[in-house]
Amino acid sequence: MSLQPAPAEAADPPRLIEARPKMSPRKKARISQGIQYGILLLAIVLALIAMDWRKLGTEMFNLDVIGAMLGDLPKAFANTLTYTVAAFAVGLSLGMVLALMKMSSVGPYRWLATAYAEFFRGIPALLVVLSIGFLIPILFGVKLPNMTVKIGIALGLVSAAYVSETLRAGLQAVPRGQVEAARSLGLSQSQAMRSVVIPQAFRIVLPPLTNELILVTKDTSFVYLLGLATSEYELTKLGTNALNQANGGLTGVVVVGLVYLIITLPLGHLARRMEKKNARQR
Amino acid sequence: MSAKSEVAAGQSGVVVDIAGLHKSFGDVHVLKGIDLRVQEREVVCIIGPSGSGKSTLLRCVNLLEQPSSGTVELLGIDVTDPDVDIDAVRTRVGMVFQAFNLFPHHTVMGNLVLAQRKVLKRSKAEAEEVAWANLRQVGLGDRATFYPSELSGGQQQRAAIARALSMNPALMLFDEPTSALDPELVGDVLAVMRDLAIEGMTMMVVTHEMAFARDVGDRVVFMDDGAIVEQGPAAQVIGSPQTDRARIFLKRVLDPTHIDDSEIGQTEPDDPT
Ligand SMILES: Nc1ncnc2c1ncn2[C@@H]1O[C@H](COP(=O)(O)OP(=O)(O)O)[C@@H](O)[C@H]1O
Ligand SMILES: [Mg+2]
Repeated sequence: MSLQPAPAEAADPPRLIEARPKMSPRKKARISQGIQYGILLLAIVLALIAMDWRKLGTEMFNLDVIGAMLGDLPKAFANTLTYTVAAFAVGLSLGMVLALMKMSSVGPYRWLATAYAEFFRGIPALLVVLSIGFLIPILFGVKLPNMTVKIGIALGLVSAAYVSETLRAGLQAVPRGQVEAARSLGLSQSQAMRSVVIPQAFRIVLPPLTNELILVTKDTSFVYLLGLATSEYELTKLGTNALNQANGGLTGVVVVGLVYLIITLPLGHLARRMEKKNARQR
Repeated sequence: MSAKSEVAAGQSGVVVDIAGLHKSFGDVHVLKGIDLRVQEREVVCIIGPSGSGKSTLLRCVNLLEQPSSGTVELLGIDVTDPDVDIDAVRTRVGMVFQAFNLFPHHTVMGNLVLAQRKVLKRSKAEAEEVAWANLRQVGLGDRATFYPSELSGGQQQRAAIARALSMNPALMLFDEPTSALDPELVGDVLAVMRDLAIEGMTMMVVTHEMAFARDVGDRVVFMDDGAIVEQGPAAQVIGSPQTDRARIFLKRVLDPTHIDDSEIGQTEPDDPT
């Protein structure tokens, strides 16, 4: 190879650096890439050798367990979707109010909205879900009618914190000149907002909002903290319940994990496509 | 139509009457007492070094900036009066920006129709008819269905002019309309503006195109440091400026390769610190 040691001039200090045989950057990059592929290959081979293949079948893709779950799967799937839609609806509406508050000229509105976002982004969603089941009945003397409302409010409160930030950034990403052009044509402030700013902001926020929807979808799994009747099971609860079945291993969670992916992968793909399209139109 | 006749009936043909206009942004005093009157059918070109307040002056005319003191009368209406419906006044004043500011989510036709429908409450058919006429006037009769991103800069600016014209303005404001364009696209835009001037549009044009100012402008106003330093017939101000500031500025613009070392930096805006 070309990695020969420097010839004898190495004894001459000022020329030391120059004298070292140079490797071209392109060659370096090629060698580095080769090493990375090598490591990857080694890891895969080791994993395949170390894995107990018979166990994999019974522990992760146990047909008996799958068969037993199949009947309840559609209902659980539907419940996950219902909880998601409820939470996202709350998050979107409240997030919009908070975003407007953040851009308000009234100081206290801004402070409130900022404090809200900081608070709910700073604590685990799990704590919020836990608290909601208990706090709202105590504080407001109302009993939340059903699980969809409970989880919708809990996750919606959290989601609104993120959504508000996304919407604010989206609205402010529309150049000032757009509003000025609209106003100079005689449109009122609110007409300019509706006809010019919001349609453009909408395109900007759609990808991040789709990603938020994915997060909410996964977070609906926290609903188990509120104590579920069988009819209220969603995917995660269904999957973890199946863990208790004898000899099934992890099959339950593997199955529902795959179902989550059926929901989330297309959404992620959609978000990326919209992002690319937006990038082209700028 | 009624737009023109109304102006004609307006007070003695004065379209814009600016008196004692001051504008400050916080501590920065940008306009220091501007008096300027623009007659109907007059084309006033405003020249001057960068930062001298030309844009701010135009923006005060249609209240994109709120004047700090002084009055701005448009068609006999004092627009600085808080009780005036500024949206209604703005429909009579077209503005063309350096950065075009077309709405990117609408086609060219959509851009021209939007405000006609929302503000003037024209029917779709009427708005489109007006739009077609204006698109043809600016040479974009074949670009109605294009999105702004599909047009060259020169085409975008002409579309922006057509958009403003579609509101039948009594006054057009141009803020360096060709400064963002590649040199070979400047001519088309200037030609459209010249045609407008010939048709009798009242115009205030901030520009560095001295040939345009000389040939099309009725009057040239030279601004420096927030004040009008010199004004007069276009040929006079550009041909034989009376003040040193105007002379130096014009020399720099007209002949940028022959600047004496002693003159370097002389027309730069003052260091704010
Ligand atoms: N919104 C603003 N806030 C603060 N300063 C501003 C604002 N707009 C303009 N200025 C200042 O006012 C001065 C004049 O600006 P401008 O009217 O744009 O000059 P010109 O158009 O002649 O180049 C500049 O010093 C600029 O920095
Ligand atoms: Mg300017």
